[in-house]
Amino acid sequence: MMSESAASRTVIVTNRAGLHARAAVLLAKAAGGFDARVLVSKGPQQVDATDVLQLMSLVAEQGDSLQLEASGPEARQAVDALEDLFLRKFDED
Amino acid sequence: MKFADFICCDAIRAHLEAADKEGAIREMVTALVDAKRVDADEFESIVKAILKREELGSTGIGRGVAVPHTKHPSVDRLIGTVAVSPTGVDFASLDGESVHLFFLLISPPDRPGDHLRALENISRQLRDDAFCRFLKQAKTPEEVGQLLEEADNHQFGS
Repeated sequence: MMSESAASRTVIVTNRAGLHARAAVLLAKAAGGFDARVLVSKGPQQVDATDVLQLMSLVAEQGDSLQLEASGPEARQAVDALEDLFLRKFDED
Repeated sequence: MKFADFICCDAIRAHLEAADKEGAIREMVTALVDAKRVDADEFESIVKAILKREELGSTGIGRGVAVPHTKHPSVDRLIGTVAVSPTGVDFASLDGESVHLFFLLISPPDRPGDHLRALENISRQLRDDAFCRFLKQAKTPEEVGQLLEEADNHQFGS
């Protein structure tokens, strides 16, 4: 039987514009590409990583710390891919 | 932040004619010029800046909504407008659907926080399906303005 795996990671928003529309779209697209449910939280606010509107409602600014939590068969891959987007500053700046 | 803080009511358009991305952006920036919110001399520069940002990835966020935007030194505070396209515009959106509802934003270069707070307001209000549907069905700029005002007064959703 395939075991449900889970992964979590803290990421920092480093691009100047923060998690604006395009960055949220990139994040949602990436999150939707894995067999995993991914949640993003900023403080007490937790949202679905595949939902652009929810991501934008976080108002994640440069310097903010976000928590990624994934569960499902590809949880680790999903968290790796999302972290990479933050590290690459969503290819901005 | 409320819609009233950044949406220029006299630049709202309920009938975009363009069927393509560049045409739609030109119509919206023209509306801001006509409303004297941006200088006519800056028109081409603003349109180019918005299109350049779109090249990095579409601001079509799904559900028939797009938020084209740019930073531009010609504005001293965040300004924006809303436009409805009854026929829909091909905007290379996340979900592949055409866009019927636009929120176009222009912000001063060093105020990324205001831009995020405007997006937060837009995204929070759009999560209410009724608000989103009513806006797409609005027939006049006045109707759009009224819906924005009702949203500002917490008459939709959460």
